Amino acid sequence: MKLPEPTLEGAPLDPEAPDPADEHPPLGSWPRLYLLVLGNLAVLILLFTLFTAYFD
Amino acid sequence: MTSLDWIVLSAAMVFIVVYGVWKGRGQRGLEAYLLSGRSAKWYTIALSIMATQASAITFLSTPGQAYDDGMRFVQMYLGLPIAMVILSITAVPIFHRLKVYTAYEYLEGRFDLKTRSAAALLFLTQRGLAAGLTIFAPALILSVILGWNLTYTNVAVGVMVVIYTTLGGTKAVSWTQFHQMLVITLGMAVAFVTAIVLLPEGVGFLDAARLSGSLGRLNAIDFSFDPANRYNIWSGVIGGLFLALSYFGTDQSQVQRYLTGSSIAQSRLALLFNGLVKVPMQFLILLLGAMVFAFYQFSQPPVFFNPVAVEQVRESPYGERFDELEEAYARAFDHKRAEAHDLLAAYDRGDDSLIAASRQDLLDADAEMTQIKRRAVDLMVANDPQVDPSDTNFVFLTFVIDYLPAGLVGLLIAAILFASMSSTSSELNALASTTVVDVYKRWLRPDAGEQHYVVVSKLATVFWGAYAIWFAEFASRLGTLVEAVNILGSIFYGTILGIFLMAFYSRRVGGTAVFVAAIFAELVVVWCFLATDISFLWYNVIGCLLVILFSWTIHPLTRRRRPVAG
Repeated sequence: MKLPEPTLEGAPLDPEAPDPADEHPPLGSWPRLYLLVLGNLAVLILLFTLFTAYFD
Repeated sequence: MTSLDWIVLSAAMVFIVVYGVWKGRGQRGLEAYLLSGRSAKWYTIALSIMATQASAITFLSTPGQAYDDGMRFVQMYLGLPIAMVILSITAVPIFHRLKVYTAYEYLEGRFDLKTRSAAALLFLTQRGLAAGLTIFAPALILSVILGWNLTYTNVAVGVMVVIYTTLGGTKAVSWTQFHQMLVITLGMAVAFVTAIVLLPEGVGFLDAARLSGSLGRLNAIDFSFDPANRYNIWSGVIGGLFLALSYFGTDQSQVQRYLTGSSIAQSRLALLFNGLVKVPMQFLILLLGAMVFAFYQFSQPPVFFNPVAVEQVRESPYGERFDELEEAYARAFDHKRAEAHDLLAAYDRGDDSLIAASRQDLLDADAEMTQIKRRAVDLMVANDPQVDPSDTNFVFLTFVIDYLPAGLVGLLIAAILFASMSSTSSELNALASTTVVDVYKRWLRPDAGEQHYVVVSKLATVFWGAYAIWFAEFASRLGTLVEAVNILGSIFYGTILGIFLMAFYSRRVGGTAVFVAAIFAELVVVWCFLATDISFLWYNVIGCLLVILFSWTIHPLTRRRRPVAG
């Protein structure tokens, strides 16, 4: 497959490809899903900290 | 292993090879063969990503790591969810919309051919060697514990993977990984439950956790910042983030997994799912190790878990002293077991002062056992300086072989071999893709037909499979060079990540500036490796940041002058 010529502005994207903003994730928006992943990480760190404090 | 174990193991192996070949049948064209026709759903991709990352060593070593050193290893994965979010925002839409076959193909579109080729060759070199080690490492442990022939194990595992990866392509790889991951999860769950069920009567999960915690094995989080300490939350989040960005964003064996997605959304969901479950999964595997540790507070463990090393020292002039140490170890264990029961009784009474006193007694008894073990290891090393003084990799499999019921041992061995096969299949698949797309098609035969490239891809898979099996066989004679091969990845990962981050985020800087910057950054990383004590994990950070810094510095010197208007 031949790629489009590079430009100083970066690689030109395929104009026929669907815009990622058009594809909605299960929770309504991508930022909300990203926050879910990062929030899950924060909760895990909190739980691990409590776990360590209780048992270790 | 009993006959039932062999039946379970053989059935699992035959199933996965036949299923892989059947699932990958009838594919036409390079996109179908290398990217599963870009039709995969998020759950297939997600399990494929997880199966690729989790090699057999993950499941063999991680519980042993908790047994030996506690659960702090889990912190290494804390940067991974952040990396999944960053890659979902940047890499996934770019790779998808350009419809690339490999991550390195994108580098030519963004920069130039030399940057693409350099990154592809680095990948082929590093991953080609790593594929051999992916087969070799678990085969070595299985051969030591079960007495299997190392060469036959290497060849058998390698040939099975090559058969379905070659005939079925990426579709076979993804779907076999889906089922392999299910079997692995089932196997680990069975081992977890068994470790708890086998505890003495009256000792439950909470008691086991209290014992493990009292002996420092439930230390999941450490907030202290110490550069000499490899596992703390800071090195985990920062170093782990860079490592995960490098691995999932620039290593074709992972990029190829999410390039198979039917849309950007499907690939993103797969990465985000990995970001959600990877840390808890590692935590549970480590907790399994902590439960095995608790189990061995009531059932005497061997002085050293590597039976071949023990046999060697027994038959040496040091054998008599080793036997004495074993007897002392058994006495120390009886004492420690009594102290463990005393501590649990103190917890039942709820008397804090008694708990503190019993805990100290248990720690003293544990220190005595550790001291005896250390002296036994010193004897082994004195007898054979080449012997590995760590037995971490052998703890979990010893527990499985000695204590799991017939049938379940076969299931666990199948799970471990599946983990090895799933990682190897992704590696061979990615090596073949890069060989064909970035080398053969780009440099040698740019205008051949689709079916020609499919045939060459199959030949490339067979070639890399044979190479991996050969290197796995050769690795047993490499000794410490095996570690050097592992380090090789860390040395290059940071620099490659820097190249990709410049491609994603710094639109003005051109290919020559980045290429020269990468060379200088790599020289600094190699210098760090040769002349400093900096831990490997930080090479990813150093290499990446230096590429960015040098690129911005060199960029003004390489910028083309624009003609003056008028």
